[in-house]
Amino acid sequence: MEKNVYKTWTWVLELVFLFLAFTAPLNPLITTKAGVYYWTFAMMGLGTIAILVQIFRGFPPEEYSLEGETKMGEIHREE
Amino acid sequence: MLAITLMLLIIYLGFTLALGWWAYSKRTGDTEAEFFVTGWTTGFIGIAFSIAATFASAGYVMGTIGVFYGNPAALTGYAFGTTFAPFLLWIVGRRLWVLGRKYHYSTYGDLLGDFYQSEKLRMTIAILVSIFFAPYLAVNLMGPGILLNQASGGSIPYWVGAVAMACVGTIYTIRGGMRAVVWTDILQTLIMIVGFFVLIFMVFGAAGGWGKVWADLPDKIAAYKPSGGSFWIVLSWFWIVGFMQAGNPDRAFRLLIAKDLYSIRKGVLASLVLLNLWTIIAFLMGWSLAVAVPGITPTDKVVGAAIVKFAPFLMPMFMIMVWAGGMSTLDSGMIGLGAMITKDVYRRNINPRATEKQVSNVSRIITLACGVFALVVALLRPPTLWFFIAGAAAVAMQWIPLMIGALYWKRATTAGAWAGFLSGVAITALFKYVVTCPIPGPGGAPILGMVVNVILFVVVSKATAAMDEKHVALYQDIYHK
Repeated sequence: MEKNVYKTWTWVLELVFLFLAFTAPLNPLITTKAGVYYWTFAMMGLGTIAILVQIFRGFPPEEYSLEGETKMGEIHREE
Repeated sequence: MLAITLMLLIIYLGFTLALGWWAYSKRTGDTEAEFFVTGWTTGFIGIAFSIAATFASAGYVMGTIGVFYGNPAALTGYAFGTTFAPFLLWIVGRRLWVLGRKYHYSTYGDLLGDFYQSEKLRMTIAILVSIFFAPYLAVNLMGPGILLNQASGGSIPYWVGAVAMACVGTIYTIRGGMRAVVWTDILQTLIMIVGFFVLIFMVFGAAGGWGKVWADLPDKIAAYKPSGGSFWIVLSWFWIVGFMQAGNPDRAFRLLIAKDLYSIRKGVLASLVLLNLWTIIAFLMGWSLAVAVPGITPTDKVVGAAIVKFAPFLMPMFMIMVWAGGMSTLDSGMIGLGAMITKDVYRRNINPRATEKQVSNVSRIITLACGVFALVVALLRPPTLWFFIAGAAAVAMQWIPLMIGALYWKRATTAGAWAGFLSGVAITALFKYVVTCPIPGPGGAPILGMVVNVILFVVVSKATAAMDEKHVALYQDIYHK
């Protein structure tokens, strides 16, 4: 099966977003109120890009089958 | 002014009731699938607007805006949370929807009970989440009741607003189920967006415009505290907002109602836009209010105070916004809890042979019971209510690791799920209700709870025998390769 590089990119972008967002209060360069909100909105943009890569490239909808469909509550139980 | 307010409220309630009633006429049949998941016919607008409306409760319109007013720097964590939430919604939704469509699920418990092969686990989760979540329903009646009472100068008793809202919300939810909830949520979202648009212009005008707001916004509240002092509060807000959307039963079950996977994908994208719109609205409101009406306490009165001071003619509109926020969260909570109690407790553990008709009837009775419970609590207004409400989202998010495990991790086991969930709830409740949490803010206790939850879930799963491969494949190998 061909490897989808966008799966990797999805996680790279999301982790970078989370790291840069969480560490904003520790970032020595963000000392003014303007810096706080420029950074916040930039992070919102980066997080948005990560989601776009996720849903359109990395993890798009895939083909599925409803074979074996059951009515509610009819799936096999061992207990 | 009071007459106009009452007239608008009556029109609003009448229109909402009519819309919910009309939604019933669009039903696909009188089945439990229709009642709980709209018979899998909802498009992306319904999914996104419904999630957004449920997120923007009466508490958002009053309380959250107040928190942004008092400490906007800490609320950058809220912004990170609304940007992360759709990512998690898609991780869960793209697999959950397929399984839900295939095995006719309408709650997370449906999947958890089936995958982990344990009715006891399923029922325990449903009952614990319901217990912690039920008081939250009452808040959405209290805000509108209090506001109406204050706006009338005390001439309209508090209970009138609470009863009116509870009756309308409960009636259309019982009648139309999830379909009525979705349609009315679209209306509530539009009302709130238009209302905030007007309010933002009003408050910025009162504060002297954008330039003056930005120049006068105090660094003390708008910038981070030195030496990383804001780190934990930012993380805390991120956590509660980021995980709440995929965790709270009042909105997370929207992942099951879509007509196809592409609707979920578009719904997630539209949710991203709407959730971030709520963040931007809250920032703009918070900044401008901090300059226009500084020093208001408690901060949840700040929007009302600004309207009274600068534009009292907008009070009726604000009232409708609060009612719309409350109604959208109330109906979603009732249908979510109704689904869990009906499906996870009654359908699977009390009357497994129940017919569609019986389940449908019981679901309506339980939805009614949820509405009555919320109203009784709202009327009693117990002083400890806020104490318990604080734990609703914190506890509800503890089933997310189990969901991820069921959808993606082949080594997840029933023992691991038990250990993770119970420890997560116990730790969260401990730091929420018993001892002071070392992490500040609303997300402190659930951070600790989820960390312990994940660790025990993984360690115990690894230490116990793996589940049958064919069984796991039923849930995790759902796509054609």
